[in-house]
Amino acid sequence: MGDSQYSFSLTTFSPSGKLVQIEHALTAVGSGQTSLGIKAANGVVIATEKKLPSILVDETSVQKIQILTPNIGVVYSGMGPDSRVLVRKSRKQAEQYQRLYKETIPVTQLVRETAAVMQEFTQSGGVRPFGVSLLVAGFDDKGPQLYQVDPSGSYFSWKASAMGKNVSNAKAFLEKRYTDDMELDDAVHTAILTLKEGVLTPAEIEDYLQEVE
Amino acid sequence: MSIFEYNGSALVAMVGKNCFAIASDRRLGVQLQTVATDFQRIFKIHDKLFVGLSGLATDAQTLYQRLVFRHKLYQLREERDMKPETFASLVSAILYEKRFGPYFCQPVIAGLGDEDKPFICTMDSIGAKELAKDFVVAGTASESLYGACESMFKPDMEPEELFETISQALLSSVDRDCLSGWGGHVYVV
Repeated sequence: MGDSQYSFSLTTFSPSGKLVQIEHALTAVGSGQTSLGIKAANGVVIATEKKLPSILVDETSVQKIQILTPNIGVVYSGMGPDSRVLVRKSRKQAEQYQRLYKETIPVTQLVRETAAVMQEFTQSGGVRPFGVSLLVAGFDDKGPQLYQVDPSGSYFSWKASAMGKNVSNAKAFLEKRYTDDMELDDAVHTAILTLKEGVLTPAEIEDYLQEVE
Repeated sequence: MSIFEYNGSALVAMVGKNCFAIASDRRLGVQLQTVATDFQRIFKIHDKLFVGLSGLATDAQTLYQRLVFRHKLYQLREERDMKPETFASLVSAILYEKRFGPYFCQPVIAGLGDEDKPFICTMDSIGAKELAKDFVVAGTASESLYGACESMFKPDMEPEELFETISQALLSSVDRDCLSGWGGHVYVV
C-alpha cells in the first residue's frame, strides 16, 4: 500500500485533534445519493436511490446494492468505485472465514473486518480514506442485523439509519415511523416512503408502491 | 521405526446417548524406554470440547498450544465457544498448512454440539477428516483398538456404561501394544 516514497500517512491530525481527511471523506459521503436501512422483526431492508446521470445509461449495468455472502448485503453512499474495492475485499474475507471454519461468517465479524480495512487506509502510507459509508444488512444466528461503517472505520449497529443527501429529513422520518415489531413488508414500504422525502418523483413512488403491492 | 511410533500412544473416543467419552493411555516413551507414566494426551478446549493428540509428543504439545491460542482468540472475537464441527475444520486447516513438513500427530476431536449432540472425528497428520457416528481411534495401538471397539461398542449408551466400555476397550488394546499403556485417562462429558 503506497510505495517507499510515501511511507508517511496523508491523514494527519489537526491541532484541534481532528483528522481532517476523514471529515472531508464524510462530506463526500454526505453529498452522495441517499441510502437507508431498516431492521424489521424478521429481516433487514436496505434501499437507495438509483439516479443515473443520463437516460442513455444502461440501468441494468448499475448495481448499487451488492451481496457479500448469501445472507449479507451492502449498500453505500458516496464514491461508487471506492465501494467496489470494499465489496471485493469483504467478499474475500467472508470466503476466507468460510474456508477456515466451514461456517458462514457472522455479520458482526464481517463488519469488524471491513471496518478494520477502512481504518487501515486512514493510517497507512500514501493512501487516502475511503469516500463511502456502508450500510451492511445481514441475517445470521443472532437474527437480523444492520450496521453502518464510516470512512474512519467506526461502525454502529442501527435499528434504522440513513446516509447521504437529505439524511436529517430521512432520519427524522424514520424516527417517527419506526416500530420494533415491524414486519419485513412494512419495512419495505417505509423505506420507499422515506426515500420519497425529497428524493423520488411522485410518478416513481406510485410505480414502486404498486410493485410492492 | 516410524516417527509416529517414537513416543507411543493410544487414543479412543466414543459416542453415547447425549454424551461422549474420550480416553488415552499414559505412557510416554523414547522408543523402547519408558520415560513417563503420567503423560497427558487429552486436552480441554472448552467445557464441551476435548481434543486428544497421538503421535510425536513434541508435536502434540505444540499443536495443542496453537489450537488453544486460536480458540481463545475466537472466543474473544465472537463472544462464544467454538462448535466441535467448526473446531475440526480449523484443526484440519492448520494441519494442511504444514502439508510438506507436517505435524506428526493424529488428532481425535470429541465434543457436544448444538443441543448436546455428541460429535467425534479423527484426522490424519495432514488434515483429512474422518467423521464417525460410533467411535474413532488413533495411535500405535489403533489396530487393536479398532477390534476392541467394534466388538464392545453399542449405540446410545448412558455415561456410566460408556465409561466402562471405553475403559475396557482401551486397557485390553494397550495390553497388546508394547509402546502404549501404563493406565489410562478417561473423560466422559
